[in-house]
Amino acid sequence: MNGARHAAHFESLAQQDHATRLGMWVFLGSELLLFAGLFALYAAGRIAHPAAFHEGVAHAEKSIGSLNTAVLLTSSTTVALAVESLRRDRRALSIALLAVTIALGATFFGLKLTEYGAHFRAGIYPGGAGNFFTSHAAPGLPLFWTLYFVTTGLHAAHVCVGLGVLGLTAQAVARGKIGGERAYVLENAALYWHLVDLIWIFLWPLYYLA
Amino acid sequence: MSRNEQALPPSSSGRVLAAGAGLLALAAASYALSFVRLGALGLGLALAIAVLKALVVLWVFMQFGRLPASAKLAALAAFFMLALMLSLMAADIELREPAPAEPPAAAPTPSP
Repeated sequence: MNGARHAAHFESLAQQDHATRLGMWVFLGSELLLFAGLFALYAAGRIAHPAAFHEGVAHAEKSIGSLNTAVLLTSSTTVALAVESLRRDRRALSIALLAVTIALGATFFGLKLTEYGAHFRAGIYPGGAGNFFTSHAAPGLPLFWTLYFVTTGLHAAHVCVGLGVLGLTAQAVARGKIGGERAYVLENAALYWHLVDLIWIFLWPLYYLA
Repeated sequence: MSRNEQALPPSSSGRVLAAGAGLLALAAASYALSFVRLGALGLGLALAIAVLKALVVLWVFMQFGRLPASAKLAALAAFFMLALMLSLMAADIELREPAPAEPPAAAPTPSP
């Protein structure tokens, strides 16, 4: 069928492809439920303290958050193009697109650290700690900022993991271990990156826009 | 080889690029709307645009429509669990009885 080998417990490379794809989607489902708890907490907090959450959004770094949205959406596009390139066995183009994706992901993380730095300088810390909360004493505001740091922090951790996974996959493509016939390996790494993008698509309006 | 075991064929790079451009356009619309005073409608609109963007990512980038049935079932099961959790949480908030009023503080006993 092709030159690539499959693991001993699979009958064919196609069966292995199918199993890994199914496993990846089950994993993505569990990740979705992990973030769903935080989204549910946000919804309950916003219903209980609408004014405080509105005030919290007003103090968010909207420009940095919006720039990060553009960066992450672009990176999702480039990683999807990298997968398409590898499926056509255009390895050099795939590696170049993966390098662009990794650079964009690192930019996202750098901007996120800049954003946290700005909040710390303004006296905003998790748990309602910091000078900010003495001048802004609305009940529910500490909850907003705690959820902000926990949720965006967890998301940033996922960005870091995604960068590592994409880096290792790019290395494997460069060494010729992954080609067009095993493109599903890169496809699964890209799926993880798309999930990171999907989560951010909902975090952005909730914590920065409205 | 069963249909479910077949590898996904390449899709058009032009389609992927168009989806990326569409996502950026939707994000720009969301950003512009955030400067308009819309009250509670603003959050609803922002989330509606977010759902649209999520569908584009799911359909074009993650190729949900071309997945084998078993992977679709796994994704739909996660979505069902998510919907169940959020519905039960909303029902709890809506139907929860108000907390009983705090009992009045005991009057200080007069010193002899």
